[in-house]
Amino acid sequence: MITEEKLSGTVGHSMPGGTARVEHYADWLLRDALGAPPGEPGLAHPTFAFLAAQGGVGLSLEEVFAVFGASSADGPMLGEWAVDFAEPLRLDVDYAVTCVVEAATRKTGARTGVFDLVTVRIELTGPDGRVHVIVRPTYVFPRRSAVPA
Amino acid sequence: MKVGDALAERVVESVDPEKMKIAAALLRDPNMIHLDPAVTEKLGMGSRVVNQGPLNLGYIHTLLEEYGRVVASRFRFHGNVVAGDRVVAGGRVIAVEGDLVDCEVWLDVTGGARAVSGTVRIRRAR
Repeated sequence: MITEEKLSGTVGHSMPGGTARVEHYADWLLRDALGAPPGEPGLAHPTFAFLAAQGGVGLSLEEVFAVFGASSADGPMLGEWAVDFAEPLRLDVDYAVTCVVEAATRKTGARTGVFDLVTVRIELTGPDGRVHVIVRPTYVFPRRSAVPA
Repeated sequence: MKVGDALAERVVESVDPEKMKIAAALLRDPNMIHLDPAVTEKLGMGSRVVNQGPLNLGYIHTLLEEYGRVVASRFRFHGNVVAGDRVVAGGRVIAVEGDLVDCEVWLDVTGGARAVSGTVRIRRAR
């Protein structure tokens, strides 16, 4: 298991990043999956921020977990998810994506035992150079092998 | 909209496992608990596939689109939604400032537990 010191040391770590683009047909598919009506012309469903951000991190989820000394076999979960829109997410626009670890803390729960909470900050920057969308997923990594302090 | 107003509930009568296949492809999510009931069974999670978290919060976002544009949202995931579940997305206005409206929101499984809770800010449609 990753030590608490190493876990704290991941704060500030940057993922490779990349680009994101919401194609109109992909937005249609998400709306179909949600049973959502058509949205405003040219705008993506707000939940697409989740997909665009995750897809632009530059690592697979398994590779993201590995940064924190975990794997999907450990049963990581998405505990929280947040988004802030300075601008709505637009269809067929290229966004630059950056991702940095914002917080990483070890906790102990009476029922859950030891677990780590990791929040990453993913920014989608539009063609105008401004950050349009900030997404913050918080992952929960159970550390079943750890003995509670 | 004023403080205390309830948002019109959005109901999914039966969560469709076929939609999870679309979501898995869009998310590039390889987790088979969303696709194969044999896997969920093997993992002791029952015989029904598990809905993706983004779809669960997506039901809430879809409800909010009826009222305006989402400016910010914060969600906490409490439990799973599985194929065949009836889920209800709901919310309540907790603050209003000009055209910005803050709401508490949730997604409940009928006959089960709260799956998602959170707070959102929307900019009202003009």
